[in-house]
Amino acid sequence: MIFRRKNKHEQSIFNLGKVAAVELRAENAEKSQAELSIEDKIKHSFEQLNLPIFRYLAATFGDKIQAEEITQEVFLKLYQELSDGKNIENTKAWAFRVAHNLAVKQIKRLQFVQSFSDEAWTELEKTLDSKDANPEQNLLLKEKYRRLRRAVGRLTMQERQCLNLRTKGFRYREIAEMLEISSTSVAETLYRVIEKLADETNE
Amino acid sequence: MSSMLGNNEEHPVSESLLLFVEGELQGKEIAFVQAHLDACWDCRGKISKIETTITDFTEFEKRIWKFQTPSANFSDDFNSKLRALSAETKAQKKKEHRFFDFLKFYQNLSFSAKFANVLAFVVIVALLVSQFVLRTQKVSAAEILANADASEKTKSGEVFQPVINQKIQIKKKINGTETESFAVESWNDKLRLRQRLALLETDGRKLITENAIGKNKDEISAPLALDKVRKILRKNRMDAVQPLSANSFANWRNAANLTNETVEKSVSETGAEILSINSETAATSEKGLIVSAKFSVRSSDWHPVKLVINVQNESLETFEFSETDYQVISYKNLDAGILPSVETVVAVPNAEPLESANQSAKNELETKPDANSNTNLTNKSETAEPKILIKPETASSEDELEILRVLQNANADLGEQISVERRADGKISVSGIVENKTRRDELTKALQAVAGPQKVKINIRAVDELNRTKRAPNKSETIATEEIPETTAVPVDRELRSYFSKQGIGGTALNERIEGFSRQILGRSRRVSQFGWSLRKLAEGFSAKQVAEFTPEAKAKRNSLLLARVRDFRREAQGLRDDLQPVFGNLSGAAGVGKISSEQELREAVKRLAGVSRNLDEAVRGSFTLGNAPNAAAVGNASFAQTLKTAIGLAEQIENYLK
Repeated sequence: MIFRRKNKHEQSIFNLGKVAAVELRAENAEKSQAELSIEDKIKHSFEQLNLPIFRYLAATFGDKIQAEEITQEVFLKLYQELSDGKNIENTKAWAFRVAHNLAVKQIKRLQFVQSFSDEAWTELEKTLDSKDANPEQNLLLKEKYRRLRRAVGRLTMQERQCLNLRTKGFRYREIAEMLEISSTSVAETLYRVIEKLADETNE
Repeated sequence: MSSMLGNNEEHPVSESLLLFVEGELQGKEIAFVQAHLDACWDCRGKISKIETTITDFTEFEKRIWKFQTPSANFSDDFNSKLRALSAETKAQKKKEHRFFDFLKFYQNLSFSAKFANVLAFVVIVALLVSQFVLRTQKVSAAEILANADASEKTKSGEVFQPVINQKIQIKKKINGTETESFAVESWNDKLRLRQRLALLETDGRKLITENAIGKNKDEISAPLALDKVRKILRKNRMDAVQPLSANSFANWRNAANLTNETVEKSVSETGAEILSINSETAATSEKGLIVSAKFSVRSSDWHPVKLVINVQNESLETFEFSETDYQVISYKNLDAGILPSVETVVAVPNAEPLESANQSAKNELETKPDANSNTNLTNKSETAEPKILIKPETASSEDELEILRVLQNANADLGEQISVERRADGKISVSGIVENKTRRDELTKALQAVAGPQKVKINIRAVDELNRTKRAPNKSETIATEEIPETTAVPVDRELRSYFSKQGIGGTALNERIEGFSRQILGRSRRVSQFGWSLRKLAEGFSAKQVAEFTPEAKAKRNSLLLARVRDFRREAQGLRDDLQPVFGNLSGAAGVGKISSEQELREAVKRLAGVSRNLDEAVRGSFTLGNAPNAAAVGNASFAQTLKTAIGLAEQIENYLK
């Protein structure tokens, strides 16, 4: 086998190739670091927000399975947005808005919506049994909660959304932006909700 | 939001009180409302109501959210989806490069090649669309069963204390040759969960003896052929008395290991369109199992008309169940010998201690002690009247009214099927079905607190107990249901759309408003109907003679129960009128109804009110639910307006009489 020493020109090309390969490896490492950080960011956001969003959706849909599916979908969408290089400043507001939009699409297929699952309701009822109170008092307390549950079940979609977003700590202006309505509409809707709940519980 | 505030002379508008509580007002607005509140008790009351409601709801939500958490594997499931998406995204990015390469290639193609490609694409899309349209026109098996079940419930709901009475011709075939044929009649008491079967012979009807029901001389034991059929049905989780029902077929279908299922359309001999579910299971060598079944309903009203089952035995046996007659009758109109009241049955399994004591005492008196006395009691009852040594304590009318009060307070007299009856032994029987075990337990506890076991016999069962054996629908059923095209509008959609559009509501908000309004009206209408029927049950729970013999206290208690429900009725009926008036008009006022001045007139008025409320509910359901034709809209016509006015007028007169 004959070994030939590289000439000067060949040597410089060889060196350039080595540099390019090193640069390419560094670029790839940077890219995979960026991918990793998006995944981590999503996981972090999911840990922070999955429960409030799930509960918002459960209260909107009344269906735990759908609420779970949409909650996951929200964060998978977030991953896609970030992967496409989009910048999202307020993740919480963005996630709730996406959850809301997905909910609206899903709800068109449903005719009747129940706010809280039967399982949750059954568990709540169990905790309401107080040894100190007499059976009739228990019954009255349960009846009050049953009426509240029923009243929430009768709310319109907008009323339900305003109520559930308000209970998640959003101010009227933020709710208005999320639902694309005016702040005055939010106030009117929430007042209507309060009246309905009060009417049902005071019957 | 300052526009929400009134001027200094007036009360602030209600919404601004909420904004005040919520801290959403600005400086001057806060001062205005605060100054007004200092002087106005009325508005302070409203503020208090808002705060109380917020507190109540927050407390309720705080409690219930503890139990509304995602499933245990929720996070793990998400993480795996995220990983999959991440991998897919990376792969997609690689594909994108390839796609751009393809675009470059496509741009370099000749015009004719490009045209051929576009044509092929259009043809594929057209094929896919036609496939989709064909698929969505199909009806799934799950939908057929759901509709058939709902149809039966609707028919039952129209009759007070419903009993389903069905006649069926049963044919057995082996290898296509008919070997046996007989007819049966069944009664299914939906309220008390009891059933009865009779054999229809040329010389008349012969009731089949059941264990829980005493045997009379006219009754016969089940013939061998029928007994065999019933065993097969039971083994396959079908209803042995009413096999030709959606519920019975669904029980088998849910438990069976189905390998294939199709839905087909056909036309019956009478020209009616029939929808049939053909279900096949995996091959089995176990005898007595159904290997395939065909369940047929009339498509016009989803009523089940025929069931054919193929059963694996020595050879393949076919059983056909064809309906020859069907009606829903009221328990009160039922021949007393068919489903006798529980108290007339002597041989009661799991008898109560008091009854056992009576039984023991009675046995002691027998001159010839019988070792099998428990099983022979039925026959003894025909020959000798048992002597009752221990007189059971009887419940008074006040006790019964107190029980009714507890049930009314818990709203158990409305949607739930609870019946209160006086038994022959003087006890009050409270029986029926409630939504779950917790509800059953709380009602039982509250009832026991007002009347002990000596006076009240409670037999309340929970739906979830009854449904324990049912399997959740599988995923494919869900998908099939989603494929059904949506019916997009309720019959009164045009009127609602016109009304809300004038209020400036449009787009998605308009659809939501219509949906919300429809739900609100349906809820009101349902409550009107429930209050009407509850009122009738209360009024007819005691005979006129019993009421005449009431003590003043008992009379006052009964009146207060009736009064509470008639007020509920009037409030909901007026609410219904107020809600519908702006949209349909011509509903204001109440019809002139004669004054009530006696118990007899009260009963007649209540009976009329219950009938009217049912008619109202039917009209509203026809107008505000999807799936009804536009011409089904009864709400808004003169007849509906008159019915609603009559309902309110009747309620007012009943209320005046009871005050």
